[in-house]
This record gives sequence, C-alpha cells and structure tokens, in this order.
Amino acid sequence: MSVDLRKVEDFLVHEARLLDARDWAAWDALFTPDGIYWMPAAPGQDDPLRHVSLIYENALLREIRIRRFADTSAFSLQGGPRGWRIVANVRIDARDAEANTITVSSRLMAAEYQRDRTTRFEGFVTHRLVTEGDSFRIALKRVELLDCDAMRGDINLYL
Amino acid sequence: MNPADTESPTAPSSWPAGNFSRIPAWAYTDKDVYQKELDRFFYGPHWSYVGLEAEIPEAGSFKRTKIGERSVIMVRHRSGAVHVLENRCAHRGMRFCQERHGKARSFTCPYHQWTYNLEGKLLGVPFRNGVKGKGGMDKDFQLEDHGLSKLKVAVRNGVVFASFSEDVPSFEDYVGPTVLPWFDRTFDGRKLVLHGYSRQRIPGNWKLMLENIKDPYHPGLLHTWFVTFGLWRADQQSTLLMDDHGRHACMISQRNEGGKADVTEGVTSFRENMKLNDPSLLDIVPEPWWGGPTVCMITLFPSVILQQQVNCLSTRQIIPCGPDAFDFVWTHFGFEEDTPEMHERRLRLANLFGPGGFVSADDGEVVEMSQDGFHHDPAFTTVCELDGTKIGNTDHNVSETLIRGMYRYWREVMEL
Repeated sequence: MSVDLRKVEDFLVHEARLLDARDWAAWDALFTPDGIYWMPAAPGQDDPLRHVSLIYENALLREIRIRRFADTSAFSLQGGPRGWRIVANVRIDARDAEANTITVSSRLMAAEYQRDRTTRFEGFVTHRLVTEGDSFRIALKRVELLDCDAMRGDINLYL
Repeated sequence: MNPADTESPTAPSSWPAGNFSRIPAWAYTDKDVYQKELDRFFYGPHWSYVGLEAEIPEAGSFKRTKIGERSVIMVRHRSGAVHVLENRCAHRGMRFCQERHGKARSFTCPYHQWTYNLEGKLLGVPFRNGVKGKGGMDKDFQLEDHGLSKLKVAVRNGVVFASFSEDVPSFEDYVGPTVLPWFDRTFDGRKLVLHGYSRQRIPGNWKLMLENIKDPYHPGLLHTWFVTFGLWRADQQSTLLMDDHGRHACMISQRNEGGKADVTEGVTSFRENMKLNDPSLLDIVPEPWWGGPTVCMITLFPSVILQQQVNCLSTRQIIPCGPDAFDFVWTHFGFEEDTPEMHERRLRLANLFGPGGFVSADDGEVVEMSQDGFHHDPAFTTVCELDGTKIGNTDHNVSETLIRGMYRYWREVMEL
C-alpha cells in the first residue's frame, strides 16, 4: 500500500481546520462508525479501559459533547471559546495493508481563548487512519497532552 | 481575571454571632484567615486524607502528596505499616522528595545527603566526624534528635489519613457515628484497586469545593446533563446527614424507580433512538453493597470528598494553595473482586464525571467565578438560606443545611 505522506499531512491539516472552525459535525464525520477519540490521563498510557482517561469517546459520547458545545446552558462553555491548532512532525509510523490502515504520529500545538484567557496545549498525537478512496477516515485519534498528568484546568474542547 | 491582581477585603469585619447562613467574602479571600485555617484545620487536631493503601502496595512504595501546603510522603514500611513523613529534611528544610510516586529503601536529601529510613529516622550524615580530624559535627550531635517529622496515621479499610497534631481524636471518633457507617459502606475492607488519577487546579477558595458537595441544590440546575440522563431530580429520595459538629456530611440519594422511563423531555430523541442502551453512556449496574442509594457523596472535613456516583468511585482530595486556589486530585478506584466488565464500567463513568467529562468541568468554573465575585466588596455576604437558617439532617435535597453546619463548626474553631 503506498500512501503519500503529503496526502496524510493534508488530511491532518484539514482535520485541524475543521476543529479551528468549530465545525464539530464535519469533524465528527471524519471518524469511522466505531472510531474513537482518546485523551489519556497518564503519559504513555496504553490502555483506555483499565485506567482513567481525560476523554475516551465513541460516536455517541462525541455526539453528546458536540450537542453540549451548542447548549448555552452548559456553563463551562459560555463566553465563546476559540482556538487554533498547528500540526507538525508528521510521520507514517506503520502500515497495515491487510486492514487498509496506517498509523500516523504528529505533534500538536494549540491555543484556546476564552474569557480573557489563552490556554496553550501541547500534544503527542497518534492517528489510526483507514484509507478510503483518495482520503482517510479516523479509526482512532489519541492525543496525549504534554501535561496530561499535571494539575490543570478543564478540557472543554477537542484538540 | 486573575484574583491575585484584585484587591482583597482586609481584616475580617464583623459577622453577627450565631449566624451561619450569611458567609462574608473575607472568609474566602483574607490571607490571615487562610493561614489560621491551615494552622487550625490542616495542621491542627484534624485528620487529613493522604491516600489509599492500594497506592503503596509493596515495602518501600511511597507517594508524595500534601496536607494543607506542607509536603508529606506516605510510605509502606517492611513491617507493612504505613508511615506519613513530612517531606522536609531536618538539616536545611529541603523538600528532598520530588517524585510523585516511587519505591525507596531510604530517603536521601540531595543537598548534603542526610539519609533517613522509612520511619523517618536519621541514619547518617556525611562528614559527621570531620575530615582529617577537622570539622564535622560536635560529639553531642545525636542522630535521633534529627529525624523527619512523623505524622500520626490512621488507616481504615484501606484509606490513609494523617495528622500533624498529637491531640487528634481517634479517626472513628473524628468521623463520628453518623457518617462512619457511610464511610464503611464503600470501604468495608474489600481490597481496593487503583484506576488512575485526574488532577485539577481550581482558582477558588478550598471551602467552595466542600460547599459544592454539601449543596444538593445545584446539580439539577448547573449540570443539566445530570437531569437529561435521569441521574438527578429535585424530587428524588434524598437524605442529608452531618456529624455532631456539622463538619462532615453525607448527601445520599436514590434514583426514582422507573429510572430511564421517567427522565425529562430533553432526552426524548435519545430514548427514541434507543441510544440510552449504549453501554458507553450510562451502563449502570446496581451493586449489592449499595443497599439502595445510587449516589453517596461524603465530605470529610477539611481535606477530602468520597464519591459514589452509581458505579463510579473516587476520592477527591482538596489541597489548598493560598486563599484563591486549590489543587483537586481525583483518585479513581474499584475493588479487587470487580469483574472486568465492572472495572471498565467504573472507568467509563469516571471519564464522564471527571474533569474532562460533563460534570466537574462546570463545578470548577463556578467555583472560580464565585471566588472572583468575592474580591471587590468586603461587605458582601453569600446567602445560604435554602430551607431556612436551621442546621440539622433532612430527608430531602432542597436545603443548604450542610453548608450552614460547616460554618457553625468553622466559626467555633476559628473563633471568628
């Protein structure tokens, strides 16, 4: 299976732009039906089901969170957060021709602004991508924040 | 806005005697009041939470944490006993231990290599006898006079508490006969299994977190998510209990029979889609040890909240950092006897309730906003008068009685 790195980078930037634009529905549509978004709570955490996570969400839980983003009664989301993401150091780490998937690692820097305050996020990101025609679907996105085990504020967004 | 940049109300102004329902802003912002709280509650004759025995399974396993602002180490001795030592070298006061968790045979301060055993006894100091007959310690220097501060320790069914004070009552007397059975309901001697930590820095006064858990008024109003998924209703069967002092409390409630069929309008579309049956959402399985109640939130003053929210079990430790902030450390756990399915279920719920989830994010934010509201008008007082001004146990959840109980105790101990 030959997958062009450039195409992978384009896809990751496309995904980041959807998140920047808070186009949650379009972003969510990038996932496979059983796709998972995962933000571990410990560095190097390899098991989402034996250890607590910051976020570990399937399609239903993402739908609820996305509905919550639009719900003005969710107090912690008031004041219109906005943000941007930079994706870099993209590498294809593994290819599984049989499953038609690739594993991609990247580094993420992001900033979110809400209520007079800017919060920075730095993450080690792993995508498991399923090739679909000319593009990809996300089977797993794992975002390990640099400070995932630090005393920190709430996580009110997808990175 | 950064509260530190704003002007704090100065010396405590008058608070009418006998009032426990109008809490003045200075109780949350004044630096001298805060220092007195540390001295009388966190360093005084009270028990503070330090952790679970499951966190230090083997001889030499240790965990670093804090009581108030003082750094302490909980460590398991070869004998199996749990010791809690202050993380402060007797020589130069260094916080010598910087690891959060680890395993050690002894503790050595990196500055001058004073070395202590796991009971805090000083084993030796370099150059004690000088070099080539010069310098060194005086002959009357005794190692036993220079150990680490060793705290008093209470372990009950796997949960470890410590106190800087020798005058603290027994843990059982401290918790009292009303609240202790609820502590024992979760911690009945079953072996605990650690599921991980979540850590939050919340920019608000530490008491606001206790108040949040002593306040059954807010969940249905702030956490609309709770209502949407039928986890909370204003008319659900609830009990509010406190110890004789009013410092500790339990909020106990039971989901109404009928459960999912009774939930409010917001969930209709989900119900139609049968999505509530998705096991990733609210796959709640009643456990025999609940004996009925689906939620039991215990506040053990001043340092910890013990949570049972359906199948989700956590301790939430409160570590104050100045009057305007506290660290909030969640330790998620289950029982050794849990099936793999139950283990997974507890974790999924922990993700939902935790700081990245749908509930506690809101609590953290409101605590911050309250703190900000206290900073600009020393004469401001909060109003905790839901269910009047009386203090006592209730059989409903439309009451702020537990907050009033806490402030009655607070005023007594603080002499304010």
